[in-house]
Amino acid sequence: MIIAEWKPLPELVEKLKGHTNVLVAGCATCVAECAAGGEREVETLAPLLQMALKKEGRTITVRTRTVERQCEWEFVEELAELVPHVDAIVSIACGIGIQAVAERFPDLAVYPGVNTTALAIRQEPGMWIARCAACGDCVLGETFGLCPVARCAKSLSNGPCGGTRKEGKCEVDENLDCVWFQIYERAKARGKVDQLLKVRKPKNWSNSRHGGPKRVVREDLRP
Amino acid sequence: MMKAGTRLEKTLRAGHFALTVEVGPPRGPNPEDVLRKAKLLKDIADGYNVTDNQTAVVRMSSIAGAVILQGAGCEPIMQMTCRDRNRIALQSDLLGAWALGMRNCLCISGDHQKASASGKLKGDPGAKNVFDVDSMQLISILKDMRDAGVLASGDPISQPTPFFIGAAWTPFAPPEEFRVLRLAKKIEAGADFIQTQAVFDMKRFATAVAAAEKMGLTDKAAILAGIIVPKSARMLEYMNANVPGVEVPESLIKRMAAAKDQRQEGYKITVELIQAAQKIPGVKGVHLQAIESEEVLPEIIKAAGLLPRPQV
Amino acid sequence: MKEEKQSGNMPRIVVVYCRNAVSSAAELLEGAYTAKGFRAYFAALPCSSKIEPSYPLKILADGADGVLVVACPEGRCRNLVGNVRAEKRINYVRALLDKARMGAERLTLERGEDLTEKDLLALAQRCLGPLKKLGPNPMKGDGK
Repeated sequence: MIIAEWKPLPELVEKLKGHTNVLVAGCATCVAECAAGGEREVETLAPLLQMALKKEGRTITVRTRTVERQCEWEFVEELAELVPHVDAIVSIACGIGIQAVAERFPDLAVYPGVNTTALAIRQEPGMWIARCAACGDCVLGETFGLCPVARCAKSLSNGPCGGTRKEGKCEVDENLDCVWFQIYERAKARGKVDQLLKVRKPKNWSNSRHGGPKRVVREDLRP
Repeated sequence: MMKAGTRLEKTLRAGHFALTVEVGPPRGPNPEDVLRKAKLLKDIADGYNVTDNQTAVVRMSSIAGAVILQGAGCEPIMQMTCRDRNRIALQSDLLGAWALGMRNCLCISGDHQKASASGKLKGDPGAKNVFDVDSMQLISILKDMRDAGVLASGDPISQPTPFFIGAAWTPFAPPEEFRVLRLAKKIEAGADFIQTQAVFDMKRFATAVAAAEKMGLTDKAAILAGIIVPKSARMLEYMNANVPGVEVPESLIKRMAAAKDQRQEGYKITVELIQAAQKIPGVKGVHLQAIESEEVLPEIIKAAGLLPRPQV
Repeated sequence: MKEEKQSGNMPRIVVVYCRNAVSSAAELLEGAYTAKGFRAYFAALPCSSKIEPSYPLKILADGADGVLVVACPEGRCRNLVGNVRAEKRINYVRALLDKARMGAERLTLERGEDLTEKDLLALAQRCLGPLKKLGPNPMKGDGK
């Protein structure tokens, strides 16, 4: 899922100071899965914003609505009936959803209530770890199902670097496993260490954001 | 066949035990800061590593520092990390460095920018990192620019750029059994010389080198044992606990702690480490580092009996 | 909320208690109770783990001066770890209250078993001191 985290409250308060009627809009898909932008979080943020703004001497009304997915126009449309009553929307969907809302309601101030940070999996309850970097050149078939782009702090193609800590943890974050350590362990378990001996050539990054903003067209699906 | 004809290369080819030292560029633009070090360290080594924004802390560039050293009569080993520059910038800087007379280059991954915010420094943990290519690929790039006159893209350059290519080796970092295999990869990619992470346990190091020798690696590339001059028992403890791949035997820490003059003991230990490295078959030299205190190096090198450096 | 106008400026504390933490008589406690120096409002939960962050936040946004959550003692939760989860969530909300400059002290957690109405009121009483320091809830008197 796409994961996001709440923006610091003072940052939101600063943005909302000039508004009176606010809509907090949530999304029931990715951001709900990472406990940042689902209905629960909408209902938590709404009273919090009200109180925080009151502390700044501002009285605001806060409406709430959580739609199934903010990245789909048909669901974004559900917010339309609330729009005439508000002068700002705080969306706690991912950056995609926030932009869809901003595009559908271009006359309204739309603020992000979260920072979208990664493509992750919920590894354990309350813990999400990045798994994919959307590099557009997937090598999972060569690294035994472990992504060195997203999970190596240096995105090495021929890791590990000399920084692997004891117990196979990453030099940059001791809470993270060194993915190249893990790749080696898996290769060893399968008796395929020789697959790691070939020098992998520089990656082609052009199929990702590095090649320019992504645009995908499927002629077979066009009207 | 000579790859680049540098002093380091010639020294190794002639069969001498080589010695390189490390010079950290200043956190400022003053060439005097480099010249001062050059004066202190002239004629005591066969190559002078100039670090590349080590620990992601902004310093005078490795190329600039290296050119200044060269002008002062110290043959530099330019260091290049993969953290800050993409392949276009790296290759461009290599062409420029060669034009300015650089002929030794050590290719390493580089510390993540998080490392820059430690101690009193704010650093740049918020900077974007590059890591377009990794150290292995950078080695290959240098090899192709030298031996085929071709860039990573496949486009040709107007003439080849002979470099003596270096790489790093951390034999004890986990997964330990893979480290010698990765060394083999680096040598296959084109590494001519290897400088290791600091070694404090020469016996253990000898086993790792023996494994490399068994694979035929010590004939293909010259391994220089990395040695850091210890200043205190606390420094040794810190390195043992915090620097990946560095293992300091308990006995050494105890010895330092018991010493009346820890600094002097540190010099003694360094000399012993150098002499132990000389006895390991397959080890062709040492790479000495005295972090932020390069001035102690001449005395230590002299005490180790490595002066004067052989004429090549 | 007619009651508010009648009772003037007395602090209002909402006591959200776990049914399993109180005596059988106290289990029926619901709604407003006038105590000495404050107004209490009781609400029951089948388990303290049913506390969601939005619940105490809404109570405070509505104008209550403080929320007291009463849970079972550690290791005595009928649902095994419900009261542990409750504590984590309450700590989370307290941090949010701090960030909103409302004061973490507006939300507290107490533990007990077989508590009577008197016990609960006594626990609520303990909140008054810290709440007095914070002053009345700025959300009060918004036509609520």
